[in-house]
Amino acid sequence: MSSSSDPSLPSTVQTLDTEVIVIGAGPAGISSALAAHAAGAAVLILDEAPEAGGHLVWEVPDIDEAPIAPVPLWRSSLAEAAAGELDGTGIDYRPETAVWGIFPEGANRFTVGAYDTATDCGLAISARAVIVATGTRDRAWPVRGWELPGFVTERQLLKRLHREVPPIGTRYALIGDGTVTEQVKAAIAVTGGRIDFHSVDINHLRIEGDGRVERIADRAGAVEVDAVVMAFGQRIDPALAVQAGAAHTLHVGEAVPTPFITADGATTIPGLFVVGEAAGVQGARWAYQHGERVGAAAARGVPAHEPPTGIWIDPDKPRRPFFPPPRDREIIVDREEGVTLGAIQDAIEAGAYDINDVRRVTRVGMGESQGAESLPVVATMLLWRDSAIADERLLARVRPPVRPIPFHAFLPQAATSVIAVE
Amino acid sequence: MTDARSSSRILIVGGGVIGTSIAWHLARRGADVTLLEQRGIASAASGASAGGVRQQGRDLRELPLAIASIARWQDLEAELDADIHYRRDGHIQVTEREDDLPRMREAIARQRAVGLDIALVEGNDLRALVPGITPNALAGTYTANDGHANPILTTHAFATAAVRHGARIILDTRVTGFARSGEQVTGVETTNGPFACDWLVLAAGAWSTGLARALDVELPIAPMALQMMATTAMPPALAQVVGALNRHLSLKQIPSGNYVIGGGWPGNTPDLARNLATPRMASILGSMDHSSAIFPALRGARLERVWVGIEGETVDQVPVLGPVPGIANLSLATGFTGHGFALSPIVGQVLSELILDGTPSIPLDALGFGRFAAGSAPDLPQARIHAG
Repeated sequence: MSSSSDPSLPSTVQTLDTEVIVIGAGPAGISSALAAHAAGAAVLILDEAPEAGGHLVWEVPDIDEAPIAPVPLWRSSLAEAAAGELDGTGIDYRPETAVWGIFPEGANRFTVGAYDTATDCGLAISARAVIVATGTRDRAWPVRGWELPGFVTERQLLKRLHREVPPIGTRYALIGDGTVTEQVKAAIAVTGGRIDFHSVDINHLRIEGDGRVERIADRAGAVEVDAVVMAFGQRIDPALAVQAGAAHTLHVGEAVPTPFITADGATTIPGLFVVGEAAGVQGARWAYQHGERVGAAAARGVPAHEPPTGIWIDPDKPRRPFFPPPRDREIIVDREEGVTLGAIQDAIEAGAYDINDVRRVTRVGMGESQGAESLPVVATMLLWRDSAIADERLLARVRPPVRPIPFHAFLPQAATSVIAVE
Repeated sequence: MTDARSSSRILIVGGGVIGTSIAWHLARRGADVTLLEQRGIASAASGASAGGVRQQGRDLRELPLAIASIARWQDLEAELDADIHYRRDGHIQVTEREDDLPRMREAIARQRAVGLDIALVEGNDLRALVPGITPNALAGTYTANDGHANPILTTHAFATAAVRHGARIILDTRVTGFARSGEQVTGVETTNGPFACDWLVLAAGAWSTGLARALDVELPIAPMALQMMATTAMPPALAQVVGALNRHLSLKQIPSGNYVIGGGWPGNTPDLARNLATPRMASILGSMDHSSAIFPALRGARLERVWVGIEGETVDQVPVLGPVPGIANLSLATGFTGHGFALSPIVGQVLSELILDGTPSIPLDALGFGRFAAGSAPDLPQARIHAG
């Protein structure tokens, strides 16, 4: 590892060189870092969270073992064990450091753009291999009124209750029945809340309130609640590998782009890997095992491979995402940009060519999260309309920064110098 | 040159802002128009454009077209019956260096001589005009009737208006070859079957070179990757489009509050087959530096999006318009080199005149293919501004 100042980069940006960068410190990230390190590579882990362990950090280990407040309410022994493995290894682990872009600079050469949220400092890191271990994100599907404060997805709630943030209230509504729903129920119980409404059917639901969530209604009537938790489980989040330019296809069930990878996690870009749940491996233990294999492959290098062709689509089988598109035209699909389902339907009916065209015309998915929540809905609408539509038209472009970054962290200290450019 | 009658079949290749404008201008005069696009409307350079609608800083060969085009922009939203977010709040090209002032005055004199309403704004007048400009800016060349518009909405509006006037727009259709008979192109082969034509217009940007080669025409146009970026939405603070000498900068605030920042920053080498060009980190950081140096409020901005457009760049930085020797029924409208958006209304108009009347209302000789003929070395432009 060496730190240097690259004269072509602004002086506030810290530049680093390493061999293998691991993005994410969940089970897969930790095990791939350990494996790459064991194979002799210099390894740097970048993780946006303040503590290692990924989503294990907020998991309630067992309702009977969880202490009652004061907060923090629990420490996951799994997360502690995983994070503890990094101690004393010499692996450079940087918490609270968000990656916003991967820039391939030729074969087995990358610059990774990062931002240290604790010190408010920009980073540009060079490496010969990058492992994307970004796991999953909560599934979120549009419901009338979900833009109101007080609506959260399941892990957002767990994270919030785990940290020293006051609970949203005591009366909860639960929508869905996902993989961590039992955790959600336990966390609500532990923090003194109760579930007054539970539905697994998303249709006909309306969340209502004046400026925030006050009640939820279905055809049976309305129930007063303080918060609505959507618990539809998680979907893969390999967006950084797609952003880097790895060849990718549509994950039809989730309606999101997903890179082609080998069993070693190798993408079509030499030196770029995807590991664990981001690569579709389900469950922390399997993700950890996958990391052992991918970390070793990244340390030794693997040959480039071409994307497979034509193996993903069975023309006789309608391609159906897991969730059908919403039907209520008034539903807001993009909570950042305020774009309604009706506006998107109109753009599609007016002949929008592909998902990127819908996006540019309606501004759906143009907000800070780059449409992580809304673009799967648009892809689903296009697929539902024409299940034979070409994959290429459903693949939303993922551009850096995958999260907004502040200019000031990437600027020279004195912006007064005039730079001749021609 | 043979004239196309209004009954003849005109085929346009390219569904960007230029091809769709030509299609609309032809169709509204009753011509039989078919436009073929290999992907979707505005899926290449037009979809990545900065959206500048500017006359100043142009090569003198294309300035008459730019001036005439601004006159067209005035009524374009009404003519197209569409909101394309056109704003006519001026364009200013500032300098931080005293020693630039003589050449700025010369540039103003040159452009005024051709009829452009351009003036030097200095010191406190400059700060009153653009309150957020850096104190280091000493002066700027200002054109009050320049501005900006939304390139996606504009291209879609051209296409929609063309269809309303009877044009056929066929997407997802890539041209794979041409049928010829003597000096005539008689049709094109595509991934969607053959199309016969009496007149052919190439308006395919960076893809024009490969298409022209299939007609044994060697265009001096190379693909270029231009990188752009946008901040998150901020309160309204900038009406004009701002550029700067000695910097790579084109800055504007669009109606949604986002600042759109360009200025000729390069992306990575484009892949034409995949219509893919990826951004460079050095261009992101450089663009943040230059833009916030000129407009310091951007030091508090957050970067939201970066994108790269694939555009065709001619050797001498101005487009290629009009006929090609040896092919009697071919017109070129390509090679706009990153500054074609503003010209799109007038290019549509003059190409429709060229095709339907035989003579354009504005002479195109200086921008013709003939300038590349052996022995006639093109004049290089005085200044290069990539401001869209």
